[in-house]
Amino acid sequence: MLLEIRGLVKRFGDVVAVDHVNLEVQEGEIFGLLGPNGAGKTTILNMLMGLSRIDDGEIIVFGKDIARQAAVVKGNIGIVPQELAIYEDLTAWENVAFFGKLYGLRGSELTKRVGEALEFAGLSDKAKDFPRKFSGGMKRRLNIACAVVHRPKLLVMDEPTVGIDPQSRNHIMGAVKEIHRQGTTILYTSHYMEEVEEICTQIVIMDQGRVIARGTKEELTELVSTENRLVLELSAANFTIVDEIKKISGVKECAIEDKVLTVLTTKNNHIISKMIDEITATGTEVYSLNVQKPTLESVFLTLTGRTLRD
Amino acid sequence: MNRMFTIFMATLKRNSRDRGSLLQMLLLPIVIIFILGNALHSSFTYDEISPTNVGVLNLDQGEIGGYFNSFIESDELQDLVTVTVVESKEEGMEQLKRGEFLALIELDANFTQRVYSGEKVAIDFRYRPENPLRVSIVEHVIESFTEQANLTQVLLTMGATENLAHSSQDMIKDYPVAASEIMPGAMDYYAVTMLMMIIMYGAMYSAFGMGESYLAAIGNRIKSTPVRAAEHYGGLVLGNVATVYFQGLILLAFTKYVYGVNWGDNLPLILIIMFVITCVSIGLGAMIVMVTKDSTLSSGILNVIIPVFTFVAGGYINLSFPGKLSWLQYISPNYLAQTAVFNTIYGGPTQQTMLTLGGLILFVISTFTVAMMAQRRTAR
Repeated sequence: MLLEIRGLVKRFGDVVAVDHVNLEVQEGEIFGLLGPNGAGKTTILNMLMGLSRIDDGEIIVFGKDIARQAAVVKGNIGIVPQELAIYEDLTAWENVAFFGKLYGLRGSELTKRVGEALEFAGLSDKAKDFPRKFSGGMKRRLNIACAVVHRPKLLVMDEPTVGIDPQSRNHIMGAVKEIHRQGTTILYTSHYMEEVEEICTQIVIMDQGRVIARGTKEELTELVSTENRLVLELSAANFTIVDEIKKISGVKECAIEDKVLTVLTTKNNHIISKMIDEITATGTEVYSLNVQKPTLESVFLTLTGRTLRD
Repeated sequence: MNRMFTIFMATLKRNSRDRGSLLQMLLLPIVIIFILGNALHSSFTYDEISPTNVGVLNLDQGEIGGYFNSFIESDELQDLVTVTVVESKEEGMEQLKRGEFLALIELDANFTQRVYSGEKVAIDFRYRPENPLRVSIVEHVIESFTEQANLTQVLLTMGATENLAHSSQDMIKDYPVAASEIMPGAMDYYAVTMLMMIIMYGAMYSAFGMGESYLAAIGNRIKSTPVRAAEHYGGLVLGNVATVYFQGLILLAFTKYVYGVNWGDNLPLILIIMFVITCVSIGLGAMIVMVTKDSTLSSGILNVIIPVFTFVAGGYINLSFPGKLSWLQYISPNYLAQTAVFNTIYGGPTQQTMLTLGGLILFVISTFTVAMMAQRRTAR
């Protein structure tokens, strides 16, 4: 076990930000921590990094208690904070070298690792430039380079793609996969379920300080696979058919917006044919039918009644 | 230690690249010293020092007590001191408190006896602190006499029997108390006060540097590395102290060699005072930012209190607060440092220099203690 969190609690006054959370991260995983803002993800990371005191419970990293052997543990962790944490008035090279030195790298080893980290981030040709001249995406990549310069066993990434363009986001997603391929275990937090779905091998969904579900993507979506979400494109916006469809046994919800009819049903293929019969009987044609597979978003919606971005 | 050095060097490098602050810290005082030094030149021209009022309580009925009366009331000293004879210590202290004279000189009843018995003697001397220059004049006068008394003791030990009385003119001939040599000109004055002001403005480095590298995202990132809190904090503080101290040295050298400012003969002590006031400045900035948790707010606070400190210290206009308000100047680190520097350059009372230095060191300890306490409170 690379990381084990047992009964972790953090309170801010009367608010319980982290409520008896248990997590286990195995070596070699990309472990996703998914949840809306305020779910307690960053608070857990702050306790893991020693920035915030643990009120109850314990965090064991590499078999060592973070509260007692912080310095040893921290040396093998790399942090990519949510906010950019680089000096604008040090060059890209100096930034990476600064953090490399803080992790104990010196001399030729430092020079070699800094070069590798910048190359990994695609910033080798910008090594002597100051980050104030960089785009948002380049700064994010430098932020990552500073975290991997010492080749950590565990890389903690806290919402590393917040506020960047799709191209830079794709670059970062690729970088995460590459770091993982090289053998680093990754703890990845995000409120973008697409990212977590794309890269994480294990996922924990959090809400209001608690773990509400855990497993692989497949295991989690299985939790809500008793339902089908059908999206039908019609030839006309026919509001009268909504009431007719709701009468079909197994239909849970039905709504129409413009010419798009959305229906939530139990998993029963007969419902689809009955529904199409009802629609065509009114003289309306069905142009397309899409049966949507459950996503982590729908898992979260089912478990909490809210969307991730609420 | 290596990690602290890494943070120290990074802080120094970043500060040295901050051209805006460098210009403000170096160019601004150079220009202000030049302008004020020339514009207010006439205000610092002293043709003559008026005599300083002193109280004398001479309880010694012996031979040397008599010499002292002759000495202190001699024609040669009339230009320097005006003597008020007091009958008792209580009366003297009361008059001193009321400000009727600046210093009270006391010869105890056994002064003569102690000189003849071979004991090294000193004359008791109390003063009001508001005018170090005048105090230094009185101190020189007393030193003149006591040195003569101690010389007498040596001569007696060696078997001398001749009349021991000397003219007061002989006694003071080694002490250059002419105004032109013991008082600063406008350029000399503003070089000191502006140096202190600019060192105090160095608190801004601390406010912004500590805000960014200790409290904000980068600070948190550094804390998540294996760096210990003391290394982190120490590296930042020392980096800022070195930056401001180095800037102070440049200013001192510039004023000395370009403006010809008199920095006296005891440069090592001046450098020590500069170092201590630099620590005060960085400690003040660190304390305010750790308490407010906001660099911009801290900068606003510093932009108010540093001009106040400078004004109270007489940094812009040479001023001294009368009577009961004189304590106001002692809350200003600038005043304490200026007093120590002026005393060092112009031979003021050593005791006062040490006291002001002690006050500054107390200030340093207090600010860093509050900063550390505030930092621990926020680490939750």
